[in-house]
Amino acid sequence: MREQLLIGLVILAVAASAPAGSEGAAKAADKPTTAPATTAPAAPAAGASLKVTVVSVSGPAQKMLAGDEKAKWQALKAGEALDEMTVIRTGFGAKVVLKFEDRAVVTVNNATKVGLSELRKDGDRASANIGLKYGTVRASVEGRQGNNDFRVSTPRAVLSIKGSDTEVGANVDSPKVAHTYTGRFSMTKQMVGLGLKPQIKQMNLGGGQTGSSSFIPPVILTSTKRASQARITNFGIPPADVKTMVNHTTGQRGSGTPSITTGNVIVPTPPGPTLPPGEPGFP
Amino acid sequence: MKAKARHVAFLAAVVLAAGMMGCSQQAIKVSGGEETLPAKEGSPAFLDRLSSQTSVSENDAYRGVLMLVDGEDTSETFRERAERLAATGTAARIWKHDANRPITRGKVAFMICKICKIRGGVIMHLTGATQRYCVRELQYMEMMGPGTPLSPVTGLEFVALLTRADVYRKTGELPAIMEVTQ
Repeated sequence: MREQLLIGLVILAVAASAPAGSEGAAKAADKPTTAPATTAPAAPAAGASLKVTVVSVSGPAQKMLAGDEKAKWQALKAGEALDEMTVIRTGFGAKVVLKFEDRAVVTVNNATKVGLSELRKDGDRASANIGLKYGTVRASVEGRQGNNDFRVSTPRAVLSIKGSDTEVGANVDSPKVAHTYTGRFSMTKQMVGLGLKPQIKQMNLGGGQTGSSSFIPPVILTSTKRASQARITNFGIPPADVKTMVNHTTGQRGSGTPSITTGNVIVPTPPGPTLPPGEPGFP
Repeated sequence: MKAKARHVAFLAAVVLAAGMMGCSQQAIKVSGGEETLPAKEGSPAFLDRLSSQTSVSENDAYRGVLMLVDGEDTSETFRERAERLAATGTAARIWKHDANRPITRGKVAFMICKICKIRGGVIMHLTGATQRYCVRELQYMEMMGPGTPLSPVTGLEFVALLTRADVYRKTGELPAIMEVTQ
C-alpha cells in the first residue's frame, strides 16, 4: 500500500514539474519581453544564411538591427546587404525593394515596419520570416527556383508564400490580410468563434483572391484573453513592438473597452480545401 | 439725396469688408499652444512612435497631417501647427485646439477629406465638410473603419488612416489590400 502511494506521489511530482501547455504559453504571451531581445542575433542553426540585398530605396526609409541594444536607426541605402533581425521602417511616399537572392523580391511600401528573421538557405530550400507590424509588403516568390518557405507574419495571420505574387497588409482596422495577384499561398489565420477559443483555420487561395481574418468585436476578444492559448513568435522585430502588437492587435478601442490581447499562433500548414475560383477567400 | 445714398452705400461696404476681414483672421482657440514634440523627427520615426500609442494627441495628429502634406513638420509648437492647418483650411478655425487632448475620428476624417480633396455626396456639397459627414464619407469609401465622430483613434489606426490618405492623394484610389471591408 505504502509502495503504491509512493509511486503515485512520484508520478504526480513528475507530472507537475513538466512544462504546462496553455499556462506556460499564456505566461509567455504575457511576457514577450523575455524574448532574447538584448542578445546579439544568433548564428544560423543549420544551413547558410539567405542573402538579402536592397535593390532600391525611394523616400524616407531606415533600418536597425533588432538584437543590438545600442543600435540606432540609420538611413537605408540601395545596394547594401541586410543581416538577420534587421528592422526596416518607411515613411510617407517611400518604397524599398529587397531581393532575397534568386528566390524572392519583396517590396516594402510606404508607412510600413517589417522585420527580417530566420533567413536560411539549405541546399535548394530557402526560408525567411518577415514580420509585419503595420503597413503593406508585396512578396513575389519564385516557385521554380527550389523549395521555398517564405512566411509573412502579421498580428492576424501567418502567410506561407510558396511561389506567388502576393500583397500582405497589416492595417489594424482592416480585416484584409492578403491579396494574391498570381500563384497560390496558404494562410493560417486565427479565428475566434462563439466558443471563445482561438480556432486556427487554414486557407489556400489562388490568384486574384483576397484573404481576410475575422474582424473580431472587442467584446469577444476581451473574453478570450483569459482563455487564450496564444504564444508569441519571434517576428524579427523588437519585443517592444511585439508587445504592442499583442496588446493592440485590433487597434480599435471602443469607449471603456480595455486593451485586447491576442497572439499569433503558428501551426504547421496542413493541406486544406482548395477554394473554387471566384469564391471569396473568407467564409 | 443721391450723394447721401452713395455715401451710405460706401460706408456699408467698408463696414462689411472690415467685418469679413475680421472673420477670416479670427484668432483660433488654442490650449497647450507651447507644447512641443521631438525635434527633427522624420515620418518613419513619427509613424513608428505613434504605432505604439494607445491614443493620439491633437499635437501628434497635426504633425502627422503636416508631414503628409508638406513632407516634414517644421513647426516648433502646437500653436504653430494649429495655425498652419487653420490657415489652409485643413483644420477648422472654430475648433478648440488642445494639444494634449486625444484627437477624434471626426477631426481626423475632416482633415483627410480636406487634404485628399474629397468632396463627398449631396449633403457635403450642400452643407460643406463637417466632421459627421466626413466620417461617413470615408467609411463609404472604405478608408475608415466603424466608429462615431467623437470616438478617439489609436496610434495604429491613425497610422493606417494616414497611409491610406497618402496613397489616395497620389493615385486617386485605394489598393484592395488597404480597403476597410465592413
